[in-house]
Amino acid sequence: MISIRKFLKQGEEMQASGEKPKHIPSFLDFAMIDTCSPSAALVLAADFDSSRTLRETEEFGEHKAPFNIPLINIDRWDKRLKRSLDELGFFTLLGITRPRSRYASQSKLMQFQTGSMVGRHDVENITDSMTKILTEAIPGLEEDEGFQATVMQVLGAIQEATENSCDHAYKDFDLPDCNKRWWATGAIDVENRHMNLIVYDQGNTIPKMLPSWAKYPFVASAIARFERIWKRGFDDDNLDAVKLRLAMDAPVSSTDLEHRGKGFPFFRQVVEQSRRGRLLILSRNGRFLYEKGGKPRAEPLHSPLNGTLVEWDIWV
Amino acid sequence: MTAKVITIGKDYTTMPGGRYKKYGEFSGEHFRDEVLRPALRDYDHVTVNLDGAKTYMNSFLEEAFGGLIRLGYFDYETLKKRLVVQAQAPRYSLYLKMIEQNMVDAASNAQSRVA
Repeated sequence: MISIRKFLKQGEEMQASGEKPKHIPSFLDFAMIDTCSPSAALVLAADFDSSRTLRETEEFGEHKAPFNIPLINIDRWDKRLKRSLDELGFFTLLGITRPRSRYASQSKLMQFQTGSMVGRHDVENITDSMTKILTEAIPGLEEDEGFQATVMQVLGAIQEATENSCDHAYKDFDLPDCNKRWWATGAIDVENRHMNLIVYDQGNTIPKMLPSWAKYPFVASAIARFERIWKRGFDDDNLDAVKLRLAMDAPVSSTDLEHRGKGFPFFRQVVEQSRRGRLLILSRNGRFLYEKGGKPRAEPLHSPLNGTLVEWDIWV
Repeated sequence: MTAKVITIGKDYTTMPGGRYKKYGEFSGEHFRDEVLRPALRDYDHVTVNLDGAKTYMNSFLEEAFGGLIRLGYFDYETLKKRLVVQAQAPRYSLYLKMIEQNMVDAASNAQSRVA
């Protein structure tokens, strides 16, 4: 995956070298995309947000570089995609005022929130909006103690992910193409009483950070055992999924100093406490999926993710 | 005998933050150092009521409560005699268990350090 910022830079470099005529601008066209999950929309919005912020603060000679990337063929974009991006705040991010979409979707996406500190009122806005929609539509839900407990745990899990981002994701991370923030959103489907919550950061991934973790010997010895059984070694790309799975399984106490802020057990706890729930973690080349009552699954990603995305699906 | 009741949602914040002050306001470290320790210094008995907060992160709870033992301000037995943590709403029961576990873990780590 290429970041928007790299895409813009490449365009400028190609124009400077004469590979691309100056009168042909860089633009984005999503007319060929027909589906976009809330998590994909958040990653896209985060990339634009990060690129815009970095570009507006960096200097090219004496002039600051404006963030100017036209979107074309918007009328041909899929109406569901347009609605999702609109709800997420994507067009506002680009300074584009668009008429409200008339397309009625079963699920509603919350405006994304971003920050560089542990999420508090920003992430609270997401769960508050979702709770309001659900309790207005479902009689008696507001007084349901089980529902209130679930919302409370979901909010705590989102906070854990933002703390993880502050405490670990950008540690010793000095890539120039990076805005050290987290992004979060949620989607609600009232008919299915389904809440979808997502937190994303562009920092050091979980597999990359694991060797510095005190519990890494547990992961390393399990990998060595795995390789002995298979009688072969595995390259790093293939091991990311295994590492994710092992990181989620590693025994840990709450006061384990090196484990602080990693929050993995609490990512899973919200699923365990729910009526029905699912946890998905994507980090570099690995994908970890845990569904309540099921066996955790880990598999390699076809295309690596720049950062870590944690997603909860909770049915209330 | 003097006693103080701290209701977090009313007396501190409805939205507690993370573990450390450096990552934002209303952290567990801040609650421990600015609210809990002064209360335990000035009163014989302190009751912390968890009600009124939107959520708690384990890192907040560990730093605030486990941190009292882990950093050597109290031993487990003394703290249990002087501090009561409670909540009226059943939705906080998970956090009460987490606090107890944090304090037990901190005490057991302290003992293993001594040994």
